[in-house]
Amino acid sequence: MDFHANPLTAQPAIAPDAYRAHAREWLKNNLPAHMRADTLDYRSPTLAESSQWEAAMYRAGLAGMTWPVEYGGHGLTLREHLAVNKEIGALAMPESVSSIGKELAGPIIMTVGTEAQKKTFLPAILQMQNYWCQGFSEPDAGSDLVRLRTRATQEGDQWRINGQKIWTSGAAKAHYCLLLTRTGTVADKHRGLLMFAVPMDTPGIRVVPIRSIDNKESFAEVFFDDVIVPDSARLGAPDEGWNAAIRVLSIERATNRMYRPWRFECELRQLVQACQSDAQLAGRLTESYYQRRIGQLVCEIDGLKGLVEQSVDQLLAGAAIGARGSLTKLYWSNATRHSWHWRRKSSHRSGRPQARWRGVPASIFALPTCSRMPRLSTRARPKCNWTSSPSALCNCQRISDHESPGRKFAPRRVCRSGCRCGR
Amino acid sequence: MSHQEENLRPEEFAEAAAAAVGDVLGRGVRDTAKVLAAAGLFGVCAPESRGGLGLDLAFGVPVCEAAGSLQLHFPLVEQMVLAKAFADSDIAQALVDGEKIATIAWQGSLADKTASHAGYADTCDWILVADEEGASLLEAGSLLLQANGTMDPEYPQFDVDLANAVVKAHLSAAAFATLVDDALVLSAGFINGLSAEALTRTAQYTSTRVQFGRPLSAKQVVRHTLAHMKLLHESSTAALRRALLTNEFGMSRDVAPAFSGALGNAVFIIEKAIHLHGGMGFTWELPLHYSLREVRKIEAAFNNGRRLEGLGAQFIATV
Repeated sequence: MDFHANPLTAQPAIAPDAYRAHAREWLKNNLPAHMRADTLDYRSPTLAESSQWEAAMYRAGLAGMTWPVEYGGHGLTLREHLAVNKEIGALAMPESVSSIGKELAGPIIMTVGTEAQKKTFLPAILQMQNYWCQGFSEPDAGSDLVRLRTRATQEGDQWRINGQKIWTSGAAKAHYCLLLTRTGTVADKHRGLLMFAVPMDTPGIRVVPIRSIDNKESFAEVFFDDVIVPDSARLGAPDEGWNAAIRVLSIERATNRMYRPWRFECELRQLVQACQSDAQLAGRLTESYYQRRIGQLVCEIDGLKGLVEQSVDQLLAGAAIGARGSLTKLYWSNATRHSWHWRRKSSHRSGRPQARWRGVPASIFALPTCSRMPRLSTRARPKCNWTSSPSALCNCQRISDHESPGRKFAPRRVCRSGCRCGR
Repeated sequence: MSHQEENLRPEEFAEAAAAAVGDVLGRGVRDTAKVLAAAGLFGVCAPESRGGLGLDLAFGVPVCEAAGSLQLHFPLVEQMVLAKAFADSDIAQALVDGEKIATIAWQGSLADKTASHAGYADTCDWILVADEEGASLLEAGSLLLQANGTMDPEYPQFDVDLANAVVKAHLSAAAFATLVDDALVLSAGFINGLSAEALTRTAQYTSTRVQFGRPLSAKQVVRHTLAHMKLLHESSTAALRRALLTNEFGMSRDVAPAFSGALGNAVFIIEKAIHLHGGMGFTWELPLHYSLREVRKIEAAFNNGRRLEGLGAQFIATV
């Protein structure tokens, strides 16, 4: 890929409007067609392509906007950050492959790291030289880390680490692990927690991928067997790193991925486009039931936008964001779930199995596109031919899921084609 | 923004509004009008030349939120938007001073000779009804009213026979469209007030009602439900706040999504509040039921289902 040079030198004084215009123009000129999930050329980018793309975005001033200039950032405010995020969300772009570094490790290092750690790690995160993974969850300690067992024992000017982490996203590709350990015992609960930046090539670290339901191996178990790290890998004093993480995370949750509502809107457009490319589904778009459901999604997107913009205003006003920082993520999750539930239902209502929606980009909320839909529909696959039957009922779908509004089917029907109703 | 607005914050109005609304609870409609007028609530968005405060609509929202949370039974939203809409006539003055009370029949038109969904019409002096060129303010005395208690027997909506209607004043199509948008904003504020009160009441109840030796709110499922209710309420208020601000290009935003979103969220919040109070299947008339009926009445008056269809169709058309 060949990206244009950054035409803009980011300055704190620059107005959000100018920054928005720059972001829009740059993205329009530089986002490769094959990275747009709403184009004919779409294919999932490789890790190298994604990395190259994100590095280019950073050079163009569209990443690390609020990080200090001395650590590689652009030294701007949340206003510019939000303006750019709106433009990023408006396009069907791939998700960041370095979200742990940019959203978690970076802010924590900025808060509790030494000057040397900041200079070492922060610019490298933005330049996409280093990927990070998050070593928090354990088999017996998930959302509540009170039962965390991974142990760090000080031996002179180094630390010996033993334990296991699980559900570690991106561990196989990561250069560093933001590792949470304890210096005492489980009885200490939330006391004595200590954080490290551990290079993943340190002897004693073993990564075991976990294959998930989507046939991917983005999660992993990570085992630490007598892993020795220098004291310089420690992030803050015992308790300091974790307490800082809690503080930082409340803000980060509010400011990370601000593009979500605009991306959600973009996805809804893709869904409509996909429906318009199919004669039967296009007819659905004229029905009041479907228009109303889309209207409800529009309202949810509007609420999400409101939450994001409100968070920015509160943070800029110096208000403590606290638990409100989680509202956006939680609301987005719920809205996305509603959206997917409806999409599945729509495909069933149209008499088409869910297989029709297969082949979508990897992320959970990526949509089938107008370009992929026809290709999917031309694949050889059994049609769902429902017919009345006196003796059998579909055993894997409720009949109502196959009904169209205003249309009544016989109460007892069976699928003749063995399509398994899209399961 | 005027110098006055720069020194005022909408939030400051909530407290004053709550005090005034608290003062009128249980009073008759005319008494209520006098007290609320004396507190300046009707004229928040009306021009200063007509006795109002001439403030932005954002200052009216906390007033309506306070009215919602205290379950005020008075056509406050209608009175406020009409006082703003008739800024260039004495009608505004009469409404601001509380000498006259007005409501709006949200459905039907003069051409149909019938209108409906007019709240508190039996106690009003004027009723606004849509016409072919916008809307007409009609003398209530010239109209035949029929209470429709289907949704609320205690505070019914009224169907209006317009056969002998006497017109007091006209609103242009543009002015009527603005009035409807204003009403959507203030109604959303009122709805958010209703749901905020339901949420507060439920949080209080579940934290004090003890079952099996511990408060209901100690149970995770109850806490999750309360959190979800809180989440929806926060999104409603955030969406409304956003609707009142201009967009990145200085253009005003469509207020319909904030209104419809607030309605949907309020229904969920209040129904869950009734559920958590143990009101499943009960038909007892409790404050929460009053709130739910108010929300459902607003939903029907503004034909929210059709509005959502319109939002969906509008979105589809932009793709």
